[in-house]
Amino acid sequence: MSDAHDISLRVRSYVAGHPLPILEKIPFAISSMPRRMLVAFIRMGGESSPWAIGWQIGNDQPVLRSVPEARNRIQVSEMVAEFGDALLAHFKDFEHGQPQLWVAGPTHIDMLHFLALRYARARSGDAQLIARLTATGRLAHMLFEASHNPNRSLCMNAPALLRQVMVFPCEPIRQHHLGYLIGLLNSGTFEQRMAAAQEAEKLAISTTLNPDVERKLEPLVSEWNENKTTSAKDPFEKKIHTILGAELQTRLHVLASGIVAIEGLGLATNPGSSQISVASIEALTRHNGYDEGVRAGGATISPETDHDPVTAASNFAGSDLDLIKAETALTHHDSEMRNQLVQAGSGFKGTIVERKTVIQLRSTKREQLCVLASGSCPLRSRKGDRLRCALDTDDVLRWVIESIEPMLTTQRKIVLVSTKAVVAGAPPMKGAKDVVFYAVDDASMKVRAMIKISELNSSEELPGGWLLDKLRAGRDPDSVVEKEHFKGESADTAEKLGLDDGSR
Amino acid sequence: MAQGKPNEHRAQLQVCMSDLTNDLIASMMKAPSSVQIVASPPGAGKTKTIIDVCTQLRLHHKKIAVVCQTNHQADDFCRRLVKACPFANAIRFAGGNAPTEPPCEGCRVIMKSREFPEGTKIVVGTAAKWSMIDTCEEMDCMIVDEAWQMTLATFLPMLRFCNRFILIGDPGQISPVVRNDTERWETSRNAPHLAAPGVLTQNMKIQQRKLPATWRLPHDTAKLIQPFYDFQFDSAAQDGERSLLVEKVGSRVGYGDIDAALESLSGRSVASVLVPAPTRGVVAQRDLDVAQICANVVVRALERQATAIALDGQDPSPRRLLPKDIGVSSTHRVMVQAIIESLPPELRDVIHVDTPERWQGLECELMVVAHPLSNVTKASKFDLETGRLCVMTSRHRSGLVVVSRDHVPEMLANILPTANQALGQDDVFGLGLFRHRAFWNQLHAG
Repeated sequence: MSDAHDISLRVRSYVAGHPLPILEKIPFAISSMPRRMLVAFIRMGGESSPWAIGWQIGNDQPVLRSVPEARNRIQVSEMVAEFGDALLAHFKDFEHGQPQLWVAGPTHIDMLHFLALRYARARSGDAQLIARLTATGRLAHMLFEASHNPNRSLCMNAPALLRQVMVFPCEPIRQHHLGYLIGLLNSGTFEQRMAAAQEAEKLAISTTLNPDVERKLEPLVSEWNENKTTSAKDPFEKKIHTILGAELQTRLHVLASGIVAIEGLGLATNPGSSQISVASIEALTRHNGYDEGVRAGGATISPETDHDPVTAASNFAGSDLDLIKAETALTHHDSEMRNQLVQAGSGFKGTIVERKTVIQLRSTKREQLCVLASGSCPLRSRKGDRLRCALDTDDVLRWVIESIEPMLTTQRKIVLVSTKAVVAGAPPMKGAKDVVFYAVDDASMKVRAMIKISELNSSEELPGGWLLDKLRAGRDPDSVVEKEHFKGESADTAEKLGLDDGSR
Repeated sequence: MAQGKPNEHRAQLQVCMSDLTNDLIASMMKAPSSVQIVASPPGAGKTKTIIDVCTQLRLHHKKIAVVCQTNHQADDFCRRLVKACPFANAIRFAGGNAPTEPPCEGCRVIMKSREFPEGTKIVVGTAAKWSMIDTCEEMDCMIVDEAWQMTLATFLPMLRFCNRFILIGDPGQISPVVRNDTERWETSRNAPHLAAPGVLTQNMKIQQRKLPATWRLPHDTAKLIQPFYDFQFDSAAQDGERSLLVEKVGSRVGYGDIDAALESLSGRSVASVLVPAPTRGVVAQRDLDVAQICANVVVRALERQATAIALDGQDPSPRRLLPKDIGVSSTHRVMVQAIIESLPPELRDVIHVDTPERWQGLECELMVVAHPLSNVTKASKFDLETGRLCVMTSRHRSGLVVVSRDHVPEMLANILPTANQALGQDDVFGLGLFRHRAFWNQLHAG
């Protein structure tokens, strides 16, 4: 969405005095109650590690865990391992519906990335603890990646999802606070909604605490540190846990209200979201396979980036494919999404004035449409582009633009030809009004591209294989960081270069 | 390069190019496996170099694969190859979306690699085609044209068919177009979304070769676009050898600035038309006023019978421009459509109006461009990337008219670079800002 379009929507919402839907349907599926895991993290000011973690599965009682000292690695890792057990168990089971992790904002997602970086390659502690922590790190990494992938509905950032569906009458910077958005969704006048939002905004729901709460905790942590070798520490530990527990409860409560608010929008779920759920379960299955491989001694994917050229290229092609798949799955079922494309010029709306069957090369029959479209709208589509018609029920059928001719009136005459034979009488029909054609990318080409890249790793005789080896060996073998990456990523290459010290 | 008499200067450049071609071939023949990278300014003879390499390798009975970035470029390359070497045994390796008709006589279309003839051949296909085929006999050499438009991810599948590569392209032009989020690979040494020659150069410490000069661009345009490149290059045309003259005709209301710009092309190759920014604010993307002025420049150039003079060419006599000699470019497709619709109906099909992505590899005598920052109020990293501006301002042989809103210098002056790139990466935003400012100052100097 362009800035100008975004601003105009917000102005409309402001004039209306309440949030307005910008999509016809909710573009994601919300799992059933038992398959939802709500998670909240808290960290100490200046620290990256979690200080407290709270989680709630379905209608179960929330589990609240904290450590008295967030700088104590051992305590934190034990807390993370316990959380990891619950997380792993939740995502292990997808027979009873797709599992989802819900968080109340982007800082909680960042914490998943931190868990991946810190624990995916943990080496301290007993073997059992290491196994639990590394598995947690790997899953946290997968969920972090999934949170950025439009073709996954595994890790759900509630305020971002609300913003995806609704436009709110306030500045973009305020819209990251889930409580604020829920306040605006309340009933009442604009002033009443705004008052509720401003009241909700006073509560911190990110991973950091309000300074006044943190100031209350500071002396307790100091006292705990001074007495940590004696039983005198216990009351301080209890007080710290009470304060942090209440903060976790707040975050989980706001998050639960956020899900209720999304469900209460009264919008249907986009049927295309079921394809995203299927893709999400496939991703989970692949992750489980990878996880088993690592447990059997395989390499761990780097949580930072892909250093191996083939892995990087394959994941890059996969990410491109996921974007196209998600767009293709959702757009066809949502008139507002299509309108957004038309407004951006990636499609057009018009009336079909002529429809006829034409014979092309090798006697193939094709349908030709002549569409009168508005000439005052922007148009990015051009001759040769492949478009999909909103009325088509055939997933494969596309319409190729043969010509675009500006008319003397404020209209354009656009001629399109089908990519395959169309049954006579099938939509779109001549005379159909306001038919929308919109641009779609070809996913099949991307699938093929990804397969061809992945095959590079399995090809035994590769004429240009020397170049791949050079790219892999191009990193500085003396660099400590590079050594770390080698260990986790490409066992064969690491061994060849003598970098594997066997500690993996 | 020291400049002597114009013809001696051009002869020297020819020798440099010939040396480079011979050097490429010698390296190719000597090493059992190699990758060579050639960086080139616009219009410096990339295609000619590839054709020279192809024809000479063919004499050594080699099997050569040529990789182009679009079907249009592949067809164009085939035509030029056959023209230069009618018995080249050129094959247009086409996919399902490409036309099945051969681009020219002396070239045939093959859609399946198993149908390739035995022995020496030159096979021309797009990167998409080469990267997606299942099998192919091993080729002796693969030459990638416009290689800076190709991501590493697209290049890697080519390793299945060859072990010797020449990557040739223009590093100042448009980077590969990527839609998806690439944050994950920002710090990767093998970043899959970046241009393949850049990644290979950095990781394998390859010394890039350079084509020495632009043959297409006039002398002062070469200076204008120099800030877009991190290497120096020359121009074959010397100062005063190219000009564009217009006839004196009666003035037209509202065409004063356009007439002044066209008249100034007799003394320099670049002119600017400034359009006041609307008081209600700059129009995002579809600026109908700027579109109309771009169209008016075209109409006025034809009305005033613009004539190109190229004293450095084979024919130094003046040549009157026809509609097909004039091109128009804008970075937004909606703007391209708006410009087409602003042209008189009889010119819509003959004037080539397109985005810089599609102008790459093409040229014309007079180019009219809508400045890419004309419809921007707050420039982003994408806006400041200069590849598109570089393409748009390097297509002409005689004259260039840049149509801009007049808020651009003020907007550029108010930008504070944030340098928020990933650690170890280039400051693309700051570099783009520096280049845009240098371009603007040069455009409006004197």
